Amino acid sequence: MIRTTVIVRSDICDCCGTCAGVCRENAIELSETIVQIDSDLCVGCLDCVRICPMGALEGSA
Amino acid sequence: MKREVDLIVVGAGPGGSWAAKHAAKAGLSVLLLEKDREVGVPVRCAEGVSEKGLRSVISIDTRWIAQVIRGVRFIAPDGTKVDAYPGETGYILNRKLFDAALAEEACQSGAHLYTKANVTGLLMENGRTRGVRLRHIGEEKEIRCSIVIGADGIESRIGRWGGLNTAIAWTEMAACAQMTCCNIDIEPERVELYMGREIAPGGYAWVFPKGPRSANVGLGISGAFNPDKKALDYLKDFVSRRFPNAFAMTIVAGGVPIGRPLRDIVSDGLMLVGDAGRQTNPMSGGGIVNAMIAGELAAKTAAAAIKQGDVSVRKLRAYARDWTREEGRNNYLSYKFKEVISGFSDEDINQTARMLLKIPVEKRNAFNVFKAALIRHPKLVLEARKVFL
Repeated sequence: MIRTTVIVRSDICDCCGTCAGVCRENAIELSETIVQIDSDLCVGCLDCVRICPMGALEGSA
Repeated sequence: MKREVDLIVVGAGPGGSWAAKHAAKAGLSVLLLEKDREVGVPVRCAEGVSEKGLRSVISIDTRWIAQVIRGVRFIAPDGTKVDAYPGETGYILNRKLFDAALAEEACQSGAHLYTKANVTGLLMENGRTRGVRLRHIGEEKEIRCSIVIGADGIESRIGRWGGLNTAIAWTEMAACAQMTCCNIDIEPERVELYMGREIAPGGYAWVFPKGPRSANVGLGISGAFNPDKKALDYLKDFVSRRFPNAFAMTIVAGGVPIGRPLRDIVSDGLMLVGDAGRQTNPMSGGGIVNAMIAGELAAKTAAAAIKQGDVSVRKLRAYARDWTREEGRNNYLSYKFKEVISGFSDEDINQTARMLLKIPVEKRNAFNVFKAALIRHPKLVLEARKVFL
C-alpha cells in the first residue's frame, strides 16, 4: 500500500502552527523553527496542505 | 527550575501570562513556559483592540500603543466606502512590548518564567493530567503539578494529549497572512476592512495603521472557497493593488479559529485558555482581550480547586461556566452572525453597504451595521441587540 505523506518546505514554512490546529491525528509537532510531521500518526488526509496560509506543505504519494 | 509546582501554564501570550499572574497573586506556585526564545515574538496578530475591551482587563500603558484609532471604514467589493463606529476609540498595539509587559507582571507577581521551554507531552496518571514533559535548551525535564493551563495557541496539542478534542475542521479555520508594510498612503486614525470573494473569500482584508505611513496589512480566508489559492497569494494580490509602493517589513502567517465554540475546555487537572481553547471571536478574529479574560477566570478556578484539594473536571468546570457567561455566549452569537455573513455574495455586501450609506454616519455603530447586514434574519437582529447594546 502506498501511503500519502506530507512534506514541509522549510524555505516557505513560517512555523505558524495552523496545520497543527487542524490535524485530527495530533501528528504535527511545532518548535520555534521547525514543523515536523509524525509519519506514524499521519493518515494522509491532507487537511494541513489545504489550510496552510503559505503553501508550504505538499502531499506526496 | 522547580521539580514540582501547583500550576504550570504553557505559553506566555496574553492568555498564559494573565493566567500566571492571577494564579501567582492568589498564592499558587506557578511555572510559565514559553517555547520561543523571546516572549512576544514573532507577532502573529493584526494587533487591534477596542479601548473599551482593553480597559476592562488592564490599566492601559501608552507605551504599548503604536497608533490610536478613531473609526472604521468598510470597503465593499464594488468599492463603496462606508465609514462607521465614529467616536469609538481603538488601539493598534505593539504586541511585542505588550506581551513582554504582561509576562513581566506575571513574574513580578511571583510566577517563574522560562523561555525556550518546549512542552513535548503531558504526564498522565489514571487519566488525569499530572505535569508536563519539556525540552529546555537541550535538557529533557519532567515537572509535576496539580493543574496545567494550556495557553499554547492555535497549534495547541495539550488539549488533545489531555483527552479534549480541540482539532478544528480545516473549513472552520481562517488561514491568514499579514505584511507589516511601510511607505504607504493611509489615514493613520482609520482602520480599513475590505470584503469580497476576489479579495478574501469567507473572510476579510484589514489595514491596521501602526504609524503615519505604516500598517499591518493582512487578510484571512476560508480555504473552503478555493483550496488552491493560498492566503499569502491573496495578500500579495491585495497589497500590490491597494499599496503599489509598499515594502513589507515583516511577513507572517497564522490561523484563526472561526467555528462553533468548543464545548469542553477542561478535563481532570487541565484547562485551556485563549486560542488553545478556541476562544477567539469567530466574527472579528479578535482574541487578545478574550484570552486575558479567560486567563484570569482560569486562574481563579485553579486557585480555588488547589486550595480545596480537588482538581477534577467537575470542579474545573466552574471556569468553563464563568467563561461562557462572560464571553463564550457572545462568541456563540458572533459565530451565528458570521455563518450568515460569510455566505453573502459580493452583491449582498454591496447592497448592505449602500443601505448603510443612508444611515447618518454618527448612527453607524456596531449594532446598526449588523442590523443592516442581517436584515433578512430578524431573529438574529434581536440576538445582535444583546451583544452590541
